[in-house]
Parts: sequence; C-alpha cells; structure tokens
Amino acid sequence: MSPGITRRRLLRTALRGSLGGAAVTVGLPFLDIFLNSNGDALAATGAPLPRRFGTWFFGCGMNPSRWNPTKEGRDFDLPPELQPIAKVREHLSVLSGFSIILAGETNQVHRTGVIGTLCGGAPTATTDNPGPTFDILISDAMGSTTRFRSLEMAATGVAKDSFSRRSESAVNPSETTPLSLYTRIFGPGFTDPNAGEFTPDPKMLVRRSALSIVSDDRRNLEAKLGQSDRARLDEYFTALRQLEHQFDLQLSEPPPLEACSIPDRPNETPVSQDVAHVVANHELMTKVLALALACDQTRVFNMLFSDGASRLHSPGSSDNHHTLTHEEARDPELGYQPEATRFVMHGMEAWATFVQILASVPEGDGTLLDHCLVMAHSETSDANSHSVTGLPIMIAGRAGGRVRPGVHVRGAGDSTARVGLTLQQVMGLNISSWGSKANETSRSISEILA
Amino acid sequence: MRNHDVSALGLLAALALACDSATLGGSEVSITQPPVRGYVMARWSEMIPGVDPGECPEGINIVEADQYPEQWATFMAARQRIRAAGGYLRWDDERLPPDACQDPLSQPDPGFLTLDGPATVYGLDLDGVVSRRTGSSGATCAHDDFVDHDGATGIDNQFWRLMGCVRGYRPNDLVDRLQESNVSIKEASYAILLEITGMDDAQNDDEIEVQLLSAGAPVAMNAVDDVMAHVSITAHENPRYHNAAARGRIENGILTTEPVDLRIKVKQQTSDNEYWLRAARIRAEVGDDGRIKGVVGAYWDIANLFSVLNDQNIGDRPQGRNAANARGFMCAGIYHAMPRVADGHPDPETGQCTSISTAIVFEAVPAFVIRTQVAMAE
Repeated sequence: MSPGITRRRLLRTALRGSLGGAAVTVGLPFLDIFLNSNGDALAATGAPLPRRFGTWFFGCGMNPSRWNPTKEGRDFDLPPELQPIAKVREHLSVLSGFSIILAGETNQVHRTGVIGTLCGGAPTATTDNPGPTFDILISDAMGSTTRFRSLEMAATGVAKDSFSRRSESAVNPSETTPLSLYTRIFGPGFTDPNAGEFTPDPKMLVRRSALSIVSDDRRNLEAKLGQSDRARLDEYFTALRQLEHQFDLQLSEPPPLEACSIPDRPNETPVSQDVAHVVANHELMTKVLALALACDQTRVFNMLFSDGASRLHSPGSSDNHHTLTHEEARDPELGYQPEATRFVMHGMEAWATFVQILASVPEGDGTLLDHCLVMAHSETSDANSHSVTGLPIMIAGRAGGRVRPGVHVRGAGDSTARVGLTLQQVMGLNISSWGSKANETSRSISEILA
Repeated sequence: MRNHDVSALGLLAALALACDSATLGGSEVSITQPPVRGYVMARWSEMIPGVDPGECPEGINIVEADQYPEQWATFMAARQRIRAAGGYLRWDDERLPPDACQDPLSQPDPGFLTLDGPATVYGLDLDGVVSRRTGSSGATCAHDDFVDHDGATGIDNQFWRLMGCVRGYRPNDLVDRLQESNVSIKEASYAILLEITGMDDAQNDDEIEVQLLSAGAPVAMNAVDDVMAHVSITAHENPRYHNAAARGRIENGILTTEPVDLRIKVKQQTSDNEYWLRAARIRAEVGDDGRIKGVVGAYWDIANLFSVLNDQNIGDRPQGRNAANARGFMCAGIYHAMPRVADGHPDPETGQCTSISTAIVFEAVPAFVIRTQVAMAE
C-alpha cells in the first residue's frame, strides 16, 4: 500500500472538497481496487456487491392484445407494444396475466391496480393501504447503509407523483427535476451554523463542477490506481461531467442568434407534462440515478415515468393520455386507439432507455444492472375499462445473480402479490408468504429465479 | 314440469344441481323435486349495434366543456395547478356551473340529440306491436320500433334512440370497448345469477320458471381469463335482489319468459347502485355445452337510469360529471331527453311514460347457486 493512501482511505467511496465554505462530496463507483480478485465482492469484507431494488411506473397500461406475448418461456415473442424493448430483452423478463384479485372489493379506478401490486392486496377504501409498499419493506430490511434510504423520482415534475408509502398519509415525495435530483445527490451537504438560511446555488456548483472542487483528492486517488481503475474512474467522471454540462446549458443564457425573435409570452403553463419534456427529463434523471446507485448513495429507488391516469400530452394537444384512453374512438381498421397508444409506445421506449442506461454502467464483473432488480408496472392493463386484470409487469436485472432474465411468465389470473413476494425474497427478505386476503400467496415465481 | 315445492330443497338441491340423486354423509338421498339448473352471467352488457348503428345527421351530442368553455378552461387550469401541488379540485367546484349530474335541474336544458332514424338493433318486441311515432300504441307512448339483425320487426329499444348519438356509445368508442373488455362482469363486486327450475328437456319444455338474482360475491375467473363454470356462488344476502321467478318455455332450444320486474345489484369502480328493469323478458338459446346466450329486453325506469349513469363517486367525491364528459353527454340534456323517448309505464295521471325500452345481451355458464338463508334454515 502506498504511503498517503491507506487501505482504509481507499475503501471509502467518496471524494471530498469545499466550495465557499460548503463541504462537497462526490461519490465513487465500485472500482476494481475495492473488489476481490473475482470482481464480485468487496475486498475489505468479502461482502458481495450491493443489490439494489427499484420500481419503474408508467400510467394507463397498454392494449393487452398488442402487449401480451403469446409464447411463454425464453423464446417469447414481442408483440407490437413490446417492440421497443427488443434491444434490452436479454436484460428483462415479461410477466403477463397477473392481476389484483378484487374478491368483492371495488376497483378504485387508477388506484387499486398500483396499490394492489405494491401493497399485496386490494384497498378497501380510498384512504386504505393494505400495508406499506414493498419497496419500503425492502429498504427497511436493508437498513440505513446508504446516504439515502431510497430515492423517488417523477419525470412528470410533480412531487406528489409517488407511490412509495409506508401508509396512505406517509408518502415519499418525488424529486421533480434532473437538477434537483442531481443537487440532492451530488450537491453540498452544508449547513451554515450561523444563518440557517444558506441554500447552496446549484448554478455555481455545476459551473465550478463538483469534480474540480474535489480535484486534489481525486488526483491523490488516481495516482495510486491501476490502469483498469483509472479508466473506470475516467469513464465515471466523464459521465458526471457530461451531466454537469447539460445542467449548465439549462441554466445558462443562450448566445444571441440573428434569426431568433422573441415570441409572444405564452399563457401560464403548469409543470410540463409534455411527453417530449418528460422523456428528456426521465433520461437525465436515469443517468443521475445510475451514478447515484453506482456510488452506493442509495439501494432503493422508485422512478415514475407517468402518473396513474397519465396526464402526458403531445405538444399543442389538450387531450392527455388518460383522456384519450376513454374518449378516443378505436380505429376499426387498426383495432386500437392510435393516439392513446402512442403514449404506450413512449412509455415502453423510456423503459428500454432506463434499462439501457443501467446496463451501460460497468460494475465488478458485469454491469450496474446486473446488481439491480427493477420492476416496471402500471395501474391498469386496458385503461379504457380501468381493468386490473392482466397488469403489465416487467423485471429487469439479475439482482447479483439471483435472477435469470429473458423469460415470459404468464400469470393466468394469479395475484400480482406473487410478484411482490418473489422480489422481496430475491432481495433477501425472509418471508414465505405475502399479501392480504384473497391476494395472499406463498407461491413465488420460480421461472425468473436463477 | 315445475314442482313449486322446491325452496326447501335448499343447499342440497343446489349442490346436486340437475342430478336426480346425491350422496350426502355416505347415504344416498333421493330427490323427487324437479331439476334446478343454476347459472352465472359470464357477459352482461347494454346492447351497442356494430353493423348498422344508424345515422346522426345533426352530429353527436356536446359535453359541458363545449357548452361552458370559459368556465371549464378556468376550472381545468386550476385543477392542474392544484393537482401539481398535491391537492384535489372536486368536480362540483364552484368554478364550474352547478353540477347537473347531481341536480339535473340546476342547469337549463341544453338540448339533446337522439337517434331518430332507422338502425339494426338487438332487442325484443316488448309491446307486441310494430309501433310508429305517429301515435301511441297500446300501453306505451309513441315511438318508432327498430328491426333486428334477423329482420324481425317491432324491436323496442328506445335506449338506443337516447344514446345512439352520444359519442361514447358509438361503435368502437368507450362503452363498446368497455363491453368488449367484460370488466363489468370480471371485476364487479357482485355477480348475476340465473336459475331455471323444471327444465326436463333443454330443447323443448312447455313450463319452466326462470329467476334472475344477484349474487353475494363476484365471479371466479379461470386460467384463460374466462368466467369459471360449475363453481358455487352464494345468492345476495338481501332478498330485494332475489327477483320473482318468471314463467317460461323452451321451444326448439329457444327459451322465452313472461314479463317480470328485476332489481340487479351493481357495484363496480365508481358505481354502487342497482338496475331497476321493469317487465323484463328473456329470449335465449340453450346451448348443447350448457351455456345460455340471449337478450334481456326490459323497460328501464328513467329515474333509475339517470342514477345509474350519473351517480358515480370516488369516496365522497362525485364523479358523474367527469363520467358524463368522458361518455359524451350533458347530464342536464339527457335528463330532459329521457321523457321524450320513454315508451313504457305511462303515468296514470299524466300519460307520460316513465321507462325506456332497452336490451341487455348476456351469456351465462352453469354454476351452483347457494341460498344461504335457506341452507341455514334447513
């Protein structure tokens, strides 16, 4: 071990510096130097690389006849609405035909489907949660091992767009912009002891670059790393700096353009649910999340692409996705609603992007995604009828080798609680059954397990 | 043939279904009463004509957002702002006109377009005559009958006159797709049961009794997402939903019944209500596979119809206005249109009809109907 950098120092996973009196911390990914010779466990403790769990939500479901694969097993087909996942199919499994068993409970439109999947039972009233969402149960089981117990993100830009909750009144609000997510994760954790009102300026942070602030510490570390780790670190810092540049562009006044004229001031608009904005914000947030996961800032996350009863809309259109699912006529030639279905395709493309980003981050002997387990889900199958029968569910990642992706499992009307039970067991919870009332089950889904 | 002393048979008869004997507690019990066959509805939906739904030369009905554009624009902008902040703006908010779905007289009549021309429509000839709008026919108010897909004339279905020019009821639109999804059966809180008593021959029997009643539980689904047959389903605990049995007959596999009033419990999604269908008749085919497919023709009480359409709630938040907007009508408009197309049950004093002929298409699969009260008494 070189003088100046002790093993203990190497095993920490953050660089530190200061900006205007504020402490700045930049997390580090799992470099080879932290790992054993196989690259599958931490050298210091022998513990495996951490497993992460997340959910990815998209609102208003799909068209069952165009989404559900017809073939089961590994050789499953990709119907039209699953075509966007073709590029990542080796990373994920498709679960079709799993349902919320209502058993006499009323289907609370756009709520029962998502609460039922996440809590393991049909809610009995609009204020009822059958239990905590199971991401909470997983983070509880993991304990406070990371800086953030979990991270919630809404590409819709609405903080209340979150389904992660310990109870109906204890909801984990979402981060609403890529910049706020970035600032929360990579920004200074400074508290002014005198003023109590000091808010770090994210503009100043990104312009100075968090990386430059910690440059001394960074140089010390790099000098002691092997070639592979230096390349890994360079790749990581490059990705981080690219994000900083993107934020800087967002915050900078654009240069004057001769052809540019100032249009009339538009009417007041809410936080944008324009699908183009949501797609762009989702991709940026996913990149930030990937770095946060790689730096072990959190091990549980919940990403919301669109809300239940999705309010996404196309530019210039007053009809949002949810409205279209009810009010757009089905094209008799196509057999589906073309406008509403466009939003389904946007969702599937965004999900594929999400998976691709996690799969692009090297980690240990594989990728970040290999150490993740992510469940994509929606609150309805056919949104027009608010159906909670045959909900669309996909599972991405390998959970550190515990899950085998690339399979289609047909639930044949079984409760979605089977999915929740299986994923909790994969994440290490010692439970043999889960769910409430008619949804309670002790049958995990062995087909997706390694 | 019907033996009227069947009620005491109770649970045992239900379990034995149409068999002549059953084994109970190791002893064979002889059953002398006529067979009782139970069924549960696997489909039950208002008729939407697909091939020839009829024309709407004056266009389709407008919604409140068309009638009150400024107030709706103000409301929707506020609603978006409040939702983004984590709040909720009720549909009966004062930024909008008074909610006519809760109080139909709170708004002036905006007018309502009915389907007045010909169409090919399912249904039954409920009044026994080919009616014309030029004059009242028998016990009903003046109306034009339809022709059905088999060319039968005299089809009474004023419900389609009412809803035929409502966007959400046109082919391929909201209600059509809802019915195709069959969620009204698959995800409802209560199933609908049917019992046939005294059916000795499924092809020809000149005296049977048919009873429709609500169940106390939903249907069970099988692995291919179809309603499971041959399962036990308990009748609803409230005898209000055990309707009177109708006398009927089967001729060449076609089952028909005499009129009887029906109350059917419905609880699903935003609706917790009951259907009140008056003078309901059945015409159905009894299949070799044990299934029954057919039509319930009836007169739908207009006050109940307005309630079923518009009394929608999530918790204590009324959703009728939202639902009407999605379906494509104004509550104030449809309220005033209902009496204009009503063709049944004229008020004895005013002569104004109080019910609207309609048709509900259904398909039933065999089931074991359990009558808890009888079983407990036994």
